[in-house]
Amino acid sequence: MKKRHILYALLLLVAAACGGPTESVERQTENLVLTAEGPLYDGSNTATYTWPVDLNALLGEGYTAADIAKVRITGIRITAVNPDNLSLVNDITFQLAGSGVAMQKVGFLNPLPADANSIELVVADEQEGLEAFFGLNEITLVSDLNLTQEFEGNLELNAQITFNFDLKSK
Amino acid sequence: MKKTFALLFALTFALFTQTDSLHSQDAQADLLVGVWEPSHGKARVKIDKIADKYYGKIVWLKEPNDPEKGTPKVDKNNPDESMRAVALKGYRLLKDFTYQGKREWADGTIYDPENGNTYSCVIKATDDNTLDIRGYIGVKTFGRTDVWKRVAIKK
Repeated sequence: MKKRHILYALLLLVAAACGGPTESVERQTENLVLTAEGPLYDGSNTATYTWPVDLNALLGEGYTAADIAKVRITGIRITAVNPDNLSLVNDITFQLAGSGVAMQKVGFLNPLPADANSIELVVADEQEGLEAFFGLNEITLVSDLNLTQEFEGNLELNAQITFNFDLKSK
Repeated sequence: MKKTFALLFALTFALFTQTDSLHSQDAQADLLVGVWEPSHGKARVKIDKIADKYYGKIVWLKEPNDPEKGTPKVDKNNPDESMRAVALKGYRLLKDFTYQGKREWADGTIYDPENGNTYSCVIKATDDNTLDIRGYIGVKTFGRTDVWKRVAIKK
């Protein structure tokens, strides 16, 4: 039994050694407008943005989804262009969704610090299959927000999102 | 000439009935959208459509605060310790459902914040205002069904 465990461990080590290098990457989106359609009531609301995935722009010319072995998000920072609207948010949960891929909760912040124009989310320890998102044409960024007050019209969070991730190539 | 007209008419008719059927299919699929209350009555869940799938999140809690701490409830039973401070209000319990036809949505999961478990799940609308939500592990036969009622009755 012990021998079998040692064999498995060795196989895992060999498999890990055969993979490509892991690279730490930081990428910032352009100005995104995450829109929550009003009227909005205090409590839970959702703001979404459909983000077209351009792997060449994101990871370099000639890069394809097939080149990616593993992706792990290590940091998410949201920098508001209109910080006034961010002050209406009590807490935020951030998810990735896409066609044919299970929604993944990747980060949250509860509560948001007062008067912040840039927030660093707590990133989920458990992440699974994030590399599948890089094979999509677009990713839906889903922000679930608990608001501090009611809001008549649409709430637009104009923000730049900075993702830090470890990328392991094949 | 007559034959050409007949063929054109038949094609147009087929196209319209097909489009009509697709619209009806969409309407049936979106029947799931709305605010629903599980049988225990302790929460209300809003189901909406994001991209091409259906998701449900908690929008109301009978007891929004933790009785011990007096602060808003958080997901304290999440198996991922890093996510235990996520607010329960706004929490997405139902994820990734797709419409299968015949008033059934499948391929999704349901999360139980009371024990931190996630189950495979199918949803069946027994009428416009009632859902059978069946959570299971592995095989559908070995599961539990809860009946959810629409909060604002659809006439």
